[in-house]
Formats: sequence, structure tokens, C-alpha cells
Amino acid sequence: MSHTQRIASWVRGLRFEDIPPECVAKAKDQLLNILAAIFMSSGHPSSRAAITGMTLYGAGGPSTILGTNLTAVPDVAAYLNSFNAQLFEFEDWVNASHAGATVIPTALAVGEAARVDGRELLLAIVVGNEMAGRTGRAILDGAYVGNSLPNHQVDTALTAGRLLGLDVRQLQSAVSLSCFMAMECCPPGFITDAKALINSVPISQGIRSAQMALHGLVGNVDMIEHSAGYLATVSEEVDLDQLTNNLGKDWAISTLRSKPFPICGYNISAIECGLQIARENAFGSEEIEEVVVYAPASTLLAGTRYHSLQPDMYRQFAEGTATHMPLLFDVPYPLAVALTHRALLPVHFTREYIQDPALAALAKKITLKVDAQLNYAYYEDFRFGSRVVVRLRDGRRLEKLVEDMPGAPGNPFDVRSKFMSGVAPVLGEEGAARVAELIDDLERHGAEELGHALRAS
Amino acid sequence: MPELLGPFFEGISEYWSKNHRAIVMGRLRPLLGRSVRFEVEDGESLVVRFGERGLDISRNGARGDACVRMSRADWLDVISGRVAIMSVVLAGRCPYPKDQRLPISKASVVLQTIVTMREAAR
Repeated sequence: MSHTQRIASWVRGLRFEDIPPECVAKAKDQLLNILAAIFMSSGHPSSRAAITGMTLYGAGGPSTILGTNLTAVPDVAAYLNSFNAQLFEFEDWVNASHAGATVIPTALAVGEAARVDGRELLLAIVVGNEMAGRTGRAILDGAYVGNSLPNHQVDTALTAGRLLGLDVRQLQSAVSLSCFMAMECCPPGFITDAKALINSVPISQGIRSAQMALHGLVGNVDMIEHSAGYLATVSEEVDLDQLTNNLGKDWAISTLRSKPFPICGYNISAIECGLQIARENAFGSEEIEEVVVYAPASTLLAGTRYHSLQPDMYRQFAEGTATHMPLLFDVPYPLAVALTHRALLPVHFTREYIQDPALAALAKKITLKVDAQLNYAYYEDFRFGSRVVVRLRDGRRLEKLVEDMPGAPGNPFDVRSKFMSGVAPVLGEEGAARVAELIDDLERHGAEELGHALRAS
Repeated sequence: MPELLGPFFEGISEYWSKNHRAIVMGRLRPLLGRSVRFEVEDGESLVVRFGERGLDISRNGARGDACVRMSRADWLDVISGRVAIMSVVLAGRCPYPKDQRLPISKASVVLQTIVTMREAAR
């Protein structure tokens, strides 16, 4: 049996009862976390531009455009909801794949349209994570890393396909149609709003492919693993065993890492170190003489990646050739914010803060170095640690080590609080609490009811 | 103009031999056994093979599996550890051909690791 066929059979045959309760709980956590990220972005000018542009010739349909009172057809609603989930890099990942920003928008939009019950919605979320996690692992050794891993044409098609009730052959068709035009991102797009489309584009292809497969469009049976197929096209290195080994036994969603800050995942622990130092010690940011971040190489890869731009990020932001986006991958700027304002929130990536000369000056005092032990912990054990040392003018040396990020398995943060702070400003305290209750008890509610509860008045 | 790349790679060669297992792990391993040609625009060039036993540095004009070509100023920045090769790629000043992305991206991480880890250990 081919990998695609095995996967399609598993997706078709999976029952809610087969899923361990702790994985169902993770699916609910992911729902809360991604909804928070989406709602936090929904008032941003880039979000409004995307929604206005995508509904230029009319809105309407069975699926909710979250954070608004608008609806659209499922692929458009999911496209926009994913854009908002990515706009502040405030989402999550399983294994190495940023799953939540594809799986949750797909499952909500298609589930609402298909009027599935809450158990089926939760099952589809688990399926989507499983496929994102496994395909991400399969191409982990290639050139792409993190959010740029090009694997979501698989998980979106199968998530949508399951919700639409496709049979095994139709699921094979859906995923193969979705993967036919294999998408990869152009790395320079990470300095503008383009980056927020990184999951939206595969989502629309995945949902449309599932809808067409439902009505008889025929796709290949083996596009995922074919030697000239999807994974071989998007990656130099492919480990096909990752696709189906222990399928139904090892659950990708159990590795869920939800972000406590709007920042690239590689940099979360460095920010956490900075926040702990700032909250536990009394000092003004002008007293800081030097900051050194010791971290795995992956943190330096992300955290210095835009330090060669000419003009630099700040100037490009001022000139409009870049948005806030590269600063979400930086270490010096967000760490300067954390040390100065003792918080890191989406508001800190707005013009008022980005153009604050004091933050830019402090960012220049921050350097990064690879630490051998933290590097080993990342590359061999997938632990995301950092150590930050702050030297003050009065001679004090403040140091903090975080061995793995908050939001990692076994090191949770308060996702519900993030949910309320993101959703309540749009739906009101009562409306947000009602949505949280629905999600807590989703097994007894439906996707349509959840979608309606998520509509702004 | 004094040589830049030769002294740099010869300088990290011993560190590589002693520490490469702590540097090239997990998803970076596909770099092992591959060779990259490093060039300074209008200047020197050499080819480095990233081997398990050591860095094999040659000036014999071989092409390598990939080529990293950038200005002296950008090389100085990379050699300092402040930025990685990929930072220069993303700034649009170093070619990144599709068929060479794997060795370039892995070498970028590995070289910044060596430079900054060696400095941190001092």
C-alpha cells in the first residue's frame, strides 16, 4: 500500500474514540490559542486590507471571517483567518511544522460549512496536526526550516476532505490535486505582509481540491511520496518513513508548542529570559551597558537573519519597503522591548514602538552567541532554550537561563488568558467567555454553533 | 588586500576537528561530505569539504556542490559572527540558486556556530 493510500485510509477510518483524551485536550488548547492570535490581528490595517480585498466583489457564504460579522465561502474565510493567525507570528507548531495556522482555519471554515458536530471538528483538528507534523518531519533535513516548511498542501486537503466525508480514493485525489502545483515561499517575502500568506495559499488549494474531489475530480493516488511528487519537489532530503511509522500510536499534536509571545519560536526563550530579568530586578533600560544572548544556532539563524539588509529594517519600515514582519524574527528588537516594557505584545510591533530611538539604541547593545549545551539540546532533543546575561552600568550582572520555552509540552503557559485578551476586545467579555465554554464542551456542540458564536456583532 | 578566507578556514579547522560533533547535529548532518566553494568578489576563492574527520580546504579551482560568493565587507561581517551567510542571501547580495540551497543554508548555520561558540568558550 502506498503512503498516500495508507494515510487516506487512516484519515477516513479514524474514530473520535481512537484519539487519546490528552490529544483532544491539546486540540482544544490549540483552538483557544489560534483564535486568540486571529482576533488580536483582526483590527490591524493589514488585516483590514486583506479582508476588504478578498471581499471586493461581495462577501457571503457559510463560513465566518473571524473578528468580523462577515461570512464567505470556506476557502476564502480560511484564507483570511490564516492570514490573521500569521500576521503577528503568534501561533504554534507540532514537531517542526507550524500547524495551527493551517489546521484551525481549515477545520473551522469547512466544519462550519459542512455543519459537522464538535467531535468531528476536534477529530479533523487532530488529523490536520498529524499530517502537518509528519510531513514536516519528512522534510526536516532539507533547506527549509520553521514556518517556511512547505508541507501544508497535504494537511489542509486531508483536514477538509475528512470534514466533507470523502472516501479513501477521494481523499487520495484531494491530497494529490492539492499537491500538484507544489508551493514554496520566496525567503525575501518575510520582510513584508507577504509572509502572513504563508499558510493561506496552501489552505485555499487544499480546501478547493477536497471540494472538487468530493464531486468526482480525479487526482493521482501517490502524489505525496512519488519520486517526482510533492515532497521530492519541495525538499532536497525526504524521509518517507516519517509519514506512516506508528500512525495512530504516536500523536503529533502531543508535541504542540503554543507561543506565549508574538515572535518566531526560536526566540521565545530569549524573550522569556529578558522578561524574567526585567521583572525580578529594578533597573531602567538606559542603565544597560551590554546584553549577550546565548542560544542554539537556530536562534541566531532567525535572530540575525535581517541584520544585513541595506537600508536596515527600521529604515525600510519607515520607507514602507518592509512592514513589522522582520522584527518578529529578530532577537535584539523584541528583547529590547521586553527589557524596557517588561512585556512583549502585538502592540510593540506598531510604528510608535518600532520608531522609538531608545529601543533601537538598546537593540544595538544586544549580541548573540551559540552556546554548546543549548545547541545540543535543540538539535538532538528539540528543546528551545536560551540564557541571557545583562550587564548594567553600576556593575551588576543579571543572568537568566530558560532551558525550554514556555508553551512547550510540560511547560504550559496560560492559553486561556491569551484567548480572553485576544477575543474579548472584539466579542466582549461575555461573548469570549461563551466561546471558551463552547470549546471546553465542544463534544456536545456543533461547528456551526461555534462559528456563529465567533461572529462579531 | 590581505587574504581573508584562507586564514579564516585554516583558523577554524582545528576547532572543527575537535568539535564538529557538537556543531553538526540533527538536521545539519546533510552538510557532512559536501563541499562548498567560497569566493570573495574580485578576490580569492577556495573550496571546503565538510568532513567528519576535518575540513578539507583546497585552492585547486574545484566547483564544489555550491558556491557562496559575496563582497569582502559582507565576508568580514560573516567572519565576525555578527551575521550568517543567509543574512547576506536575504539582503540580496549573495546568490542562492535552487540546487545549492541545502549546502549553503547548512554551511551558513555551521559557520556562525563555530565563530560564536568558539568566542563564547574563550
